[in-house]
Amino acid sequence: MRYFEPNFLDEALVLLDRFGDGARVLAGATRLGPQLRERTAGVDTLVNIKRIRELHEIRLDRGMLNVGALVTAQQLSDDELVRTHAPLIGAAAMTMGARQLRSVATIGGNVCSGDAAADLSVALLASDALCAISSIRRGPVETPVERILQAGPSGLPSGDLLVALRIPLRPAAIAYQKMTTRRGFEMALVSVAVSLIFEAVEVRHAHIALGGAAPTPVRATGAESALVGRTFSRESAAAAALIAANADATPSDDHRASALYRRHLVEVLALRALLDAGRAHGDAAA
Amino acid sequence: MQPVTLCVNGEIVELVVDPLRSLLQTLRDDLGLTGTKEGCGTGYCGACTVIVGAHAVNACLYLTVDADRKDIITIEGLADEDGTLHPVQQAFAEHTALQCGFCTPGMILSAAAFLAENPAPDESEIRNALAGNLCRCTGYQSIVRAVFDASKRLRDAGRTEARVGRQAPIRARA
Repeated sequence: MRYFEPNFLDEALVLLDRFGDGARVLAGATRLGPQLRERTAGVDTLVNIKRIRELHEIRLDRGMLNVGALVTAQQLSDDELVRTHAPLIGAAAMTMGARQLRSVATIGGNVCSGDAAADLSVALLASDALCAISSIRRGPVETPVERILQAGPSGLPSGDLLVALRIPLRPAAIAYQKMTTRRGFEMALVSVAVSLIFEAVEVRHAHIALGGAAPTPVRATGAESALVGRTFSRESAAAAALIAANADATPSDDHRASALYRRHLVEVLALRALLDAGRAHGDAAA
Repeated sequence: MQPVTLCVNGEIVELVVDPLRSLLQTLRDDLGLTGTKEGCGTGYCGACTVIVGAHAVNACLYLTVDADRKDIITIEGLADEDGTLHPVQQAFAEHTALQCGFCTPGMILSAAAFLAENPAPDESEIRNALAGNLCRCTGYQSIVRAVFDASKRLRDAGRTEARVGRQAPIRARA
């Protein structure tokens, strides 16, 4: 097994390009470490990106919040810029696992893990975030996080490195709701992230993302259209939550929960999250 | 194989490790520090909790290469040089905040790291901070009481960081 700790981004990109499909990027390694200890088939090179300084940074850049791929869940929960400019990401980070995990797990790893209920991925999806990706062949590009998540685990082509998540600054009312079997323990069974932009009492833009409700995190586009252009009320939120559960969610049975139960959770959590966001807007307006 | 330099309980250790070796494997199998326990091995139970830098982490998930040039505190390094227990350890003993003791090193290190950051927590903050540490014996009540009591002892003593006392006997192995 070859192992590298590049100091600079370009160095990492050269390594990823050179070793192609056999290379894996190590970030917090909370998922990949145990996986590789069990089975290293097809992997002959590890590129640990921890020394690359810019990957640890959170900063405002060209009208967006730029969050380096190695920023941990704990940093996201504590950071003032995140609290001000991307509160939905901070709210999701705060619910993530136990303290021991939050200090190590990274936002880039969360996106690349491809987990259907990865908290930060669900929040990033509802925030319309972009993935800043770099490679030797294509240089830096920006891709909607939705496209990366849809591709599933390690949806990045070999040679590509996720450098940062770029989150648009929006005056949105946000909320994050999730159900787990034990707090601080495991993945959400279902999670719902909501970002609403109001004009007085009318919803102008609605972004709703569901975790654990489909093979990958998904947008609840049906529920979003049901809200946009209408006056927000408990009834309109309940109707949208029902659409999210019955039309947008496509859950399947697994060892953790039945599809039926997951649909039920989508409806309940979507309603709670929408009402939370509605309240947040009311408080801000008052 | 990758060379690393660790500072374990105040002592510098130089090792050459497999890049995928967990910090737990290094501490227990290479350095003989068996106070750190292996429970689930998957990051759920918290029995392997140690402090790296200022953070409590699951040693079973943490790569040894990521601990390179960092300070690591295990349960062996928490008490003072002369054997005086750390206030969190003392409080656990006095409140009988343990039965079988398997979760205790991780529980104590989680609590010590947490109290360094939040010296005056309330009960719900303590429960939240220990959410990643499972105990099958105590029912948690005595643990929460012990941590609460330890927070008072630390404040009274003017100690607000998890500090390293007695250094554990460690032999470097190539």
